[in-house]
Amino acid sequence: MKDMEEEKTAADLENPADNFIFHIGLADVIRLTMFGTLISVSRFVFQLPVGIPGHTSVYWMGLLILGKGLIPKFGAGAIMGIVSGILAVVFGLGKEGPLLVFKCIVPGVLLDILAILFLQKLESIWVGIIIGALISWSKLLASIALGVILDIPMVFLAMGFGYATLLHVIFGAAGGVLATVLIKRLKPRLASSWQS
Amino acid sequence: MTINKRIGIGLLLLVLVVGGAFLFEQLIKAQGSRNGKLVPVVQYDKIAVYLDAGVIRQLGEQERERKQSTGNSNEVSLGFVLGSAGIGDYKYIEARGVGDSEEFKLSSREIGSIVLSPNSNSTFAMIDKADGNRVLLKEVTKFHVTN
Repeated sequence: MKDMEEEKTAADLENPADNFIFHIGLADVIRLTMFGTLISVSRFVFQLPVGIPGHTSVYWMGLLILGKGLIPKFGAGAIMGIVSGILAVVFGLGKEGPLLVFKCIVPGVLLDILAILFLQKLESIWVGIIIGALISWSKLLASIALGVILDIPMVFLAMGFGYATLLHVIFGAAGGVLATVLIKRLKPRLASSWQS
Repeated sequence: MTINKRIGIGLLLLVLVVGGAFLFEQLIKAQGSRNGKLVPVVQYDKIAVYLDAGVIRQLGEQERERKQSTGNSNEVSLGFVLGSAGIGDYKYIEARGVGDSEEFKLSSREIGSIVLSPNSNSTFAMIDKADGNRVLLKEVTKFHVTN
């Protein structure tokens, strides 16, 4: 028994990259970092001056769900959120300054929790719609919380809240649908090569 | 619990989220308009803009920057507020306060001396500078623009 424990410890020491952070291996963390980077880059590249609240959710939530669907481990959403948040601050996206990290982490953490509640079935279109819509709405709530912290007049926060919620839900659900389609196509192809 | 049941609950939650958001917005508007924390400016029987103490404070800063004044007070002239809302052409403005307070009818000439000043309880007051800083309305609840 003692020998077995010693062997296990030795194996852990041989390959510490298998348990890099949140019980996720280094290879998966690097892949998640790639998704987090893609989120920020897409927000930077596809920044449209259309003035429609929540339109960024299509690719933001889409990429979050895609990353979580391909690497279905607890903490994957949080890692993507942290990476995209730090990069968003570096790129100077948004008006919240360093607090923007918080707005990016919230949907990621909620995604981790919702994925458990929906039994990690992120390839289901209905699950994609629900999770995409809810994490997109959590982004709106995080923005409002930041507005309260930054002392933005309540008028600007409360006005159009229903309309903003509806649009965030619609765009988030659209991102979720796109992600589920991509998960269905990519997961079987990546299953063999993405074993860490 | 099966995945189908979870999906059903999730969809129901989405409907509640959207419905609740619209309800919350209406409640905030109704409650705010009643207690003077959210003041509608009505023109042509439609709400042109909402004001609150935070908006008054920020407009005050903008007005001071524009006039390059170094004053520390948060007040802003009513003319500047209306101008910021795109309201420039009017005969007179009716201002109403919380409860049974007096209603004021101000012509475009009288408005020059009127300022709005935020209170500590997220409401704002209407003050006449020409009358020795007399407080006309302690807590404003509504402006009505008549063309």
